Amino acid sequence: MIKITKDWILILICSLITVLSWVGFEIYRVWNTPTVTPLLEEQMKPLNPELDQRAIELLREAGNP
Amino acid sequence: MQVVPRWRYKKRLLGPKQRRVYTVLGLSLFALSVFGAFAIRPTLTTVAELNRKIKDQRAARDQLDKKIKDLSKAQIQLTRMKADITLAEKALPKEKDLPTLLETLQQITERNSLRLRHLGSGTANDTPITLPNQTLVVKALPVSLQLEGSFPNFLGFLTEAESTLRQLNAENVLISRRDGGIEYFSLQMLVYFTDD
Repeated sequence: MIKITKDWILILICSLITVLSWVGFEIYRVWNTPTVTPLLEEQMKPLNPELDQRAIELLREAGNP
Repeated sequence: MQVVPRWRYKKRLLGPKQRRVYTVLGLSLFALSVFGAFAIRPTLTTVAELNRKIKDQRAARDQLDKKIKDLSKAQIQLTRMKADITLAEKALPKEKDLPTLLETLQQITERNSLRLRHLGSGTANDTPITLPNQTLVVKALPVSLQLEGSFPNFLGFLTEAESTLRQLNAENVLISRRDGGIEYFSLQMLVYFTDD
């Protein structure tokens, strides 16, 4: 039968810390990875509904000199 | 058959107190590590992934709702300003539309009493134009003109050319004077168009 000594406890504590760090980093990575597809990202780009009145006015002036 | 006394059996299984503590602690740590790696980690990762997806989808829904509203507003404005949109299409046509451009330049030359000696065009290049909210990439066609006449007339030509509906910019002017006081102007212009 294996005799569990202080050394074994130390190794097991280190293993637990490693596993907890693994879990932590994995969650951090998943949380910081965007799930939006490039197509959706393209569709989400904002659109300015206001037409440039000044430009239109300039065009009107140029069109009717 | 030898009967092991109860107290000796218990002692052999658990051992002294310190050994028992180490055994329980060691097995607990081992169990936690194994569960952490193969059960807790995938579960928490899935939870985090789903939370992230929900967050992203909500943001996407909000953005798309806003965009739908903006599109409706833009549609209303577009219907109201249909005539002006035609002007905009003339100012930045979808093709080079060289014949109209050459005709316009020729008319301006004649109106300003200048003589057109040469008119040529180069290869169109992509030119980014920065607007307040976005950068628009249009094509710029280099056009070169050689004109003959007086300087005030040439100034009149430039003013008129740059105020035409078609969007163009004078980039470079070279002036040379020949015998008899006649001046020669070599003009490089950029004429813009879209290329959808």
